[in-house]
Amino acid sequence: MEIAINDSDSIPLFAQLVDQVKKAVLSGELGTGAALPSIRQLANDLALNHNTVAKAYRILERDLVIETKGYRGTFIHPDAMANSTVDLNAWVISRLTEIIKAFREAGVTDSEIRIAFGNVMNDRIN
Amino acid sequence: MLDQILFYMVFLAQIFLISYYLPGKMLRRMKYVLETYPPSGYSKLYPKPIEYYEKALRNFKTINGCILLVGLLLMAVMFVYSKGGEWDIVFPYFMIQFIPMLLLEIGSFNMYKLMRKASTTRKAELHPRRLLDFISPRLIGLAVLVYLTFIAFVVYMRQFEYPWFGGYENVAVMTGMNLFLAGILLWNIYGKKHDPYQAYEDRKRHIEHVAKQMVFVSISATFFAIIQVVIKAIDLYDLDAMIMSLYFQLIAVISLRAIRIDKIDFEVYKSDPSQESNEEKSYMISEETAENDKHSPIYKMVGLSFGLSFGIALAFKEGATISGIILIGGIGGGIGLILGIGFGIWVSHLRQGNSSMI
Repeated sequence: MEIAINDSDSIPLFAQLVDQVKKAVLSGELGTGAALPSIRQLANDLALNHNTVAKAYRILERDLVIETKGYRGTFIHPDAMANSTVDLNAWVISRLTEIIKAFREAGVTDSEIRIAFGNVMNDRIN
Repeated sequence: MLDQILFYMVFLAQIFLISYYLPGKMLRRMKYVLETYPPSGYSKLYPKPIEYYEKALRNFKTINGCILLVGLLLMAVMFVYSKGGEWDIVFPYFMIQFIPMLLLEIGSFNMYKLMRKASTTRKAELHPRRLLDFISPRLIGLAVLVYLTFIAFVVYMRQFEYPWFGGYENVAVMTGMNLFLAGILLWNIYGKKHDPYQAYEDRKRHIEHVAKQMVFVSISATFFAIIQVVIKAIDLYDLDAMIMSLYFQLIAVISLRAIRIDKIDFEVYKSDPSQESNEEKSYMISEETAENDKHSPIYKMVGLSFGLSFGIALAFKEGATISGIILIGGIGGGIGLILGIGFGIWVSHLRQGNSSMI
């Protein structure tokens, strides 16, 4: 199973990696328990920074698409097929759109929403 | 007398094998690639204009021809002047014979660098690579066994207390060499992918090839070290140069053995007009100019001449033998060459700085 990374693509490199691993899982090219290369190997092969590959692996691990088994390496998660269809990013955007729509309907201005959002994100609310 | 004749025969074989037969094979291979996979259809394989490769092939042929002539000349000088036993020429000459291969290797690394910069898409196999995927445990076991045999041999030889015998220093040298070979192998397995377009199967085959080469080099170097000690111990030192020459020929055959060309997937280098943007073209042209500056033959030639002259003059002053003159001259020439390239890079940086200011 081969993956390709395109520098000129507008999608961030780590997101390209995440998408392609999920697509490979959904198409059955990467079955449950299949071993993945180490972060170092993949970063060297794709001439990417190790942190970029590590970030992609962290997201895939959070989404339960892959699992790390200590020194033995990284493998495809048993529930990867089901979890690869879940797009947390799309879910966040959809929920935020609903909430912002509700705020606007209640007469809250955009700058008030931004300030409040920033405060919540930065834990500035007591 | 017989050992002298034997030595001349073996040394002649070394001259022709490493400076004529093997380079000839390499040249035929490179010409085949140029003719069968031309830049018109396989542009990704050629980050520089075709003239550059043709010139490189001509230079490779010329340098090898010169080294071959030097070898024959040396043999003639030895035949006329040597009274026997002073044949420490084999090693320095072998080092000189390997210079064209080294230059070719450096050239191919530069090509890969340009290929990587020109390519916007990079591919990788989503499969972990492990040492045992590329080499059989038996072969590794054999290399380890030979290494352990060598340690046992050194321990055994120590009891005779030969004044010339280095003892555990030999083990240290052999261990260092094996670690170096293992480092090359691991670098090939886990290191950066040099050729961005190389098919995964080709890369796998290349790593397998390197793995076998490293194991065979390790085994043959260990046997060579054992043989050298044995011939000294049984007072057959006159055979030393001949055995060394045979060993170098074996190393050359092992290390210059290439993967069969019909097994390489050249489809990956096929031209892809949709991806060949103007940006890439302009980059390649600017890179070309910079590379030309860096590797300008004038700087190289000046550096090489100065280094060579200085080395030879120093060797003469110290009253060195022929091999000493070649060795010190070669080292001086190498240092001069490096300084010449360094000067070229410095000049190119200055020029780039000036042009960017304009």
